[in-house]
Amino acid sequence: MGTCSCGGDCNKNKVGLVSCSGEEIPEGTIARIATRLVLEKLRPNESVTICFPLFIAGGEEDRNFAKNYPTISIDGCDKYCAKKGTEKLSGKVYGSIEIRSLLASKGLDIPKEVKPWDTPKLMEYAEVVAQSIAEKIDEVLKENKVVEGC
Amino acid sequence: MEEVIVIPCSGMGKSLGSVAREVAYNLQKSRKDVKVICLGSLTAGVEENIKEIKGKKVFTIDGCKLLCAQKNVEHYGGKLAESILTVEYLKKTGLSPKGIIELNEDGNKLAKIIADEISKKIEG
Repeated sequence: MGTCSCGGDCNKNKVGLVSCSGEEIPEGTIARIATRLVLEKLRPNESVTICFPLFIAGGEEDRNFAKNYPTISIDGCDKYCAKKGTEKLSGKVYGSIEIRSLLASKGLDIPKEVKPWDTPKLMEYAEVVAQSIAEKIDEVLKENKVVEGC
Repeated sequence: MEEVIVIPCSGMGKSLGSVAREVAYNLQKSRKDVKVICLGSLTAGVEENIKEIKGKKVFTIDGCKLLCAQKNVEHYGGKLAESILTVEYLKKTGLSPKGIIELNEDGNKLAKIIADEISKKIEG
């Protein structure tokens, strides 16, 4: 998967994931867990991440993240912090996932009493989101097979 | 009771980021005067949260020396009361936090210790 037309190990063979991690809401916890599940289990060789706040706290290299990798943003709510922040500070995102809408489209609602720290209760939702992220990674890599300027 | 803002880094790649997040949740569960806000909302420039950090005391909790939470608050001119760095508690406690999705027992213990310390600082 993800073999570049140049035959080398260029960045375009990996997809960047920028997750909101929203501490205020359960969906933020889901975003963070789902992203980790993709990085650790589902697509460990095809994905990389960065701490989103580094776009302000870090250096030029950090801010070039979305220029160096085709990037998917993962947001917990419709404020789209990860997507908007990435596009403002780093580069255009290749795709984005908003968890509330994604779960709603699958008929899943997070019960109101579930808190952002109830990690075990949120795992099931995170697995659903992780699967969607993995599918999006596959799409991005397929589209990126011929890499411009590589 | 004056409300204070707590902002953890939630670092994506380190256990100490998870510890920082857990510290914030410990404080939120144990104190009614603590409000946790999303660090990412500052990075994205969400106005309502920027306004909050300018008007209330802010405690940041960072998982590594890159100090993302502290720097994001400073970037927007927030009222930084104290910047806490979780890594500084490792030697002090001898604990070895592990895990990112779920912290091990040491990680949870460390989060509780740091939360208790911040709680004292909040009370002055």
